[in-house]
Amino acid sequence: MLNLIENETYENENKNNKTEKTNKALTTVFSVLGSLLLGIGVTFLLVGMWDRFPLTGRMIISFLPMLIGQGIAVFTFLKKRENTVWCEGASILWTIGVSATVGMFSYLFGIHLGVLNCLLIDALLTLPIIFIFNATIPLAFYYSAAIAGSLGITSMFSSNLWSAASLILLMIPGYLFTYKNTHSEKKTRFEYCKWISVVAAIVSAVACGFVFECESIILLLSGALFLCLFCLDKKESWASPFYLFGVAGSGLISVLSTFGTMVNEYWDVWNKEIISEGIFAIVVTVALIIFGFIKGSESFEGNKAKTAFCVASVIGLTVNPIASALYKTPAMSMVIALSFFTVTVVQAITLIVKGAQERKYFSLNIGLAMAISLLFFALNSYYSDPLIMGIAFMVSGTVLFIANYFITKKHKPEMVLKENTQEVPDDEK
Amino acid sequence: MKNKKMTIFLVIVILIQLSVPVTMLVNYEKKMKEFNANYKEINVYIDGVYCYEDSFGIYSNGLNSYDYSKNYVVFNEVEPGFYRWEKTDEKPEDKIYVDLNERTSDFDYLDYRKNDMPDGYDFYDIYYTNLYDKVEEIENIDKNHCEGPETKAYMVLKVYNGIFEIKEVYINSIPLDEYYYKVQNDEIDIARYDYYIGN
Repeated sequence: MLNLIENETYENENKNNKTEKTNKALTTVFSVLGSLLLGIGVTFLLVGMWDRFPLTGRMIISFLPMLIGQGIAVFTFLKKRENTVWCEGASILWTIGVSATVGMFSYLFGIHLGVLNCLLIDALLTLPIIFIFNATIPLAFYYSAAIAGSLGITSMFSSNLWSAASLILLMIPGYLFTYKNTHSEKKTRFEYCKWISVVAAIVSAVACGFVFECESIILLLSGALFLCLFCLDKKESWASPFYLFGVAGSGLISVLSTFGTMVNEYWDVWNKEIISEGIFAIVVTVALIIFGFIKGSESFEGNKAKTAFCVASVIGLTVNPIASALYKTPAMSMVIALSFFTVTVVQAITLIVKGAQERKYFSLNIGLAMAISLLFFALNSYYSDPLIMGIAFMVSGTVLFIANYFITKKHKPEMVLKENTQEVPDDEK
Repeated sequence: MKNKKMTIFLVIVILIQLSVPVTMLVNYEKKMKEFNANYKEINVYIDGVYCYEDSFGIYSNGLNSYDYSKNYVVFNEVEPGFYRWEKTDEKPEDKIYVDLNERTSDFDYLDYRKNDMPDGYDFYDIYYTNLYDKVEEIENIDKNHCEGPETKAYMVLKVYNGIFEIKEVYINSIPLDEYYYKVQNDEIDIARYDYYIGN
């Protein structure tokens, strides 16, 4: 009987606890909703009554976001500096406050800055915030604003070179921040910085090429960047952004370069008007390659596949500018096309062999994808027959399936063996 | 020591951030001071007075704050003391002009519209002049409704260094607000008037 009473009491207590937890959660949800609605209401009020405020009133309201952001930042800096959540929160509020005030003042006082130039100013004002609080969340905003703002420089100075140079220079502080933090600490939020930085680098390299309006420059800069990323990688895991984008990107650039020469579409001749842009692109490319090889030299030791892949990439990138300049005669164009084709085939083979030997699905499949792409492009260029294309698709699919099946099959016995040889704890013996 | 450096850095950053909007404000004040000291007043014909079912207002296609197809508006004298606008891409030399990208200009009156027209005014759908001063009909407009005596409407502009401000608008020599007041009190019957002001 006593047990029954005890059980009932225990169950009632449990129920009460659960109800309390549910009530707390509901309170939090509805409080957040209430705050959100309040904030939206205040915003709408301001928007609706904006024109009725005198200029001084509007000026004061426009200043408030920055002052509030700075106030929170100062408080966090003085009292809560060791708390990561406070630092990240303060940094994002400060960033929003600064951006809002700059935008509103620009609108209010008729400064014809334009959205892109405003973003450039926001990026420059946000950068110190990242370093003061060691904050990672504003980094994505910084990269986006810097890239967009750099594109605005073209219209401000009527210069593509300045725009491209700023695209590269503005990224550097972000990379330094990421390098400093990922080198010293292994936290998830700094891994996020790494991913964001890699994506930003790729976007800025492609944007550089678009600014110059030259496809070969896009391929050159992107190819150099992907090669540099691959050289810097030490993990050889697709979970690392360097490896993921380095391998996939290099493969893609090689295939596109080959495709470009095969179908005669890609190659702009570097005429006198864009010679300075061409030289700029070559300088950046060489710098990236040298940096990648020097900084990542350790990862090449004993890794023949990686060495072969990277050397082939360098040859491809070297052929790129030559191709653009000498693509006039049919004989040269054939030589260049064969060069790219050879480079791509070598890269594909190294990836396939490495993937098969070390059972790395990612490199194996990227290598197979490169080989299949070359096949498709060649067939499509010279035959375009649905029957032949159909057979090609079937063969490719079969090869992919078989390759992955064999790798998986080989992988399973090893895993079983490892499980079986795990040590049995003493108390279970 | 590191804390001190970071604190100083924080203070410098805050000051730099504050200086950006303050600089914008100072530049604005400087520009407006210069404008107020040096502006010239001119009379510029507006393009039309439009009528909705329950409101009327004025507009000028030349000084349209939404049309940036060309960057400058230059004023050409067509009668003694009266100007007409002309849009151009090149910055004019030795002429009175407005830079449409100069955001400190005051487009206020150009968005002028008064609602709540008095009862009994039988307006049809809107009509307006387009950029080339041609009347365009919309839907159920009654052509007879559009005929009437010519109306002289112009605005007094303060212009200097590409910036402008509308001082007043006159319709048949009556200031705009007063004109509207007279319409409200049936002292002026605008139902029968043609508000097309062309060449």
